[in-house]
Amino acid sequence: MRVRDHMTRAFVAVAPHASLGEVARAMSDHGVRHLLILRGNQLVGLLTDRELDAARPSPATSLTVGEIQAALARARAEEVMIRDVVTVAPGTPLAAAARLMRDWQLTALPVLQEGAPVGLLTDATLLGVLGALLEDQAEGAASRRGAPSAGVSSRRR
Amino acid sequence: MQVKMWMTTGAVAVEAGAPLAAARARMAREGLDTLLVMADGRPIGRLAAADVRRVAPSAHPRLAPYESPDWADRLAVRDVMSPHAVWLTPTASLREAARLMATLGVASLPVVDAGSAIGTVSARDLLGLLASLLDQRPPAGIEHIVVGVERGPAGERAVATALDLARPDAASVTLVAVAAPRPRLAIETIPAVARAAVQAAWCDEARAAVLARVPAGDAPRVDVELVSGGRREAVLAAAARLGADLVVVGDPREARALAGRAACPVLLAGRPEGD
Repeated sequence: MRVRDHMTRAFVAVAPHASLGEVARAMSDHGVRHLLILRGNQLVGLLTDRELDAARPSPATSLTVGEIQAALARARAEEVMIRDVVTVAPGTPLAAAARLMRDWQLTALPVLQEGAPVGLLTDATLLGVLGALLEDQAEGAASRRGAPSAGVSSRRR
Repeated sequence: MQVKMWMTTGAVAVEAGAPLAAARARMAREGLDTLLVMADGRPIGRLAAADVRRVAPSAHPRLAPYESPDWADRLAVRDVMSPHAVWLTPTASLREAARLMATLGVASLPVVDAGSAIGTVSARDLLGLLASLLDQRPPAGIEHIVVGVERGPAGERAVATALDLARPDAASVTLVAVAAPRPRLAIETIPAVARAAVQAAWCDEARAAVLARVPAGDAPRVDVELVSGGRREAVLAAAARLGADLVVVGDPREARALAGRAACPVLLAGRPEGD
């Protein structure tokens, strides 16, 4: 099983000079927690909800709502993005990607082919793969015990 | 596989009235993403790392000066927790744990037994489990084949053999071919403004010529890589980059040259009988 079998090809990207207001909107509009930061077709950074949360003002800020919006419109993605991004290739074995994510405590790995991003692999996707593998194992064990497979497969749907 | 076999034991609960600063310090110290919030001996909510981040002062240099740095330290856990307690029982399956964490987007979940938080299951642990389960799986057969496409019958044989091998496992196939050279004069007579477009059209044409060798119908996913020369090096580079399981060529000299250098087996496509 390789990264290319499970990566999402529909990732969301913004330019390094995008404002944090635009970043927040892109995340909420697309329902994603990770944005690739691209200059042309080149990956220059990664921005997750963690970096966005860290930059956002707390409720205790003395700024007004308008001032906060203006400040977020002036702050740029490249000021808060992760620059040293750990990446994988489409042909990277999925087990190696899972270990990378575990060891570096990452929540997503951009997938690069010839330097250009072609996908994104997230922790949620990998947890989904684990769920499916464990389900297959449970089904295998149940069918070896002679349990009715119809009951098991109906749970899947 | 049950949660209790894979959880890290230890108390992961916090009282609703506890200071947020203490809970935040504990989460950082113990690497916890989620704490179960208790009141009167029962779970009433959860405190996630994201909840703590939302009330933390901005770290951005233009926004930080307007923060009141010790404001968050005056808060209690109940002020920022989400009022939905989510936990796993020790006998829940790891499958359910993985799905729940993926759905909630959290990196850990508390495990509760008889009203007490007794441990935690983390995404970190589950990713380790996934890696070891994947390692134990038998090789899944061929997933990616790179083909060095020579001109003439050798190329035809290599493509046909690769497609036959790819079909049962639905493997992907990448065809590496040398684009036919164009006379220098032909390029130089094109006005500079149109040169890129004409060259792109030539590329499309060359790509189509390679793809024309792939029979329509039940063919697996086929990509084409065009190179202007040095097909052998391009095949090796593509095989390494794509993590190919097999390289297929139709010419015996090409097969011998690649055999010692590719990281995966190199197959020489056989000649049809009577050839």
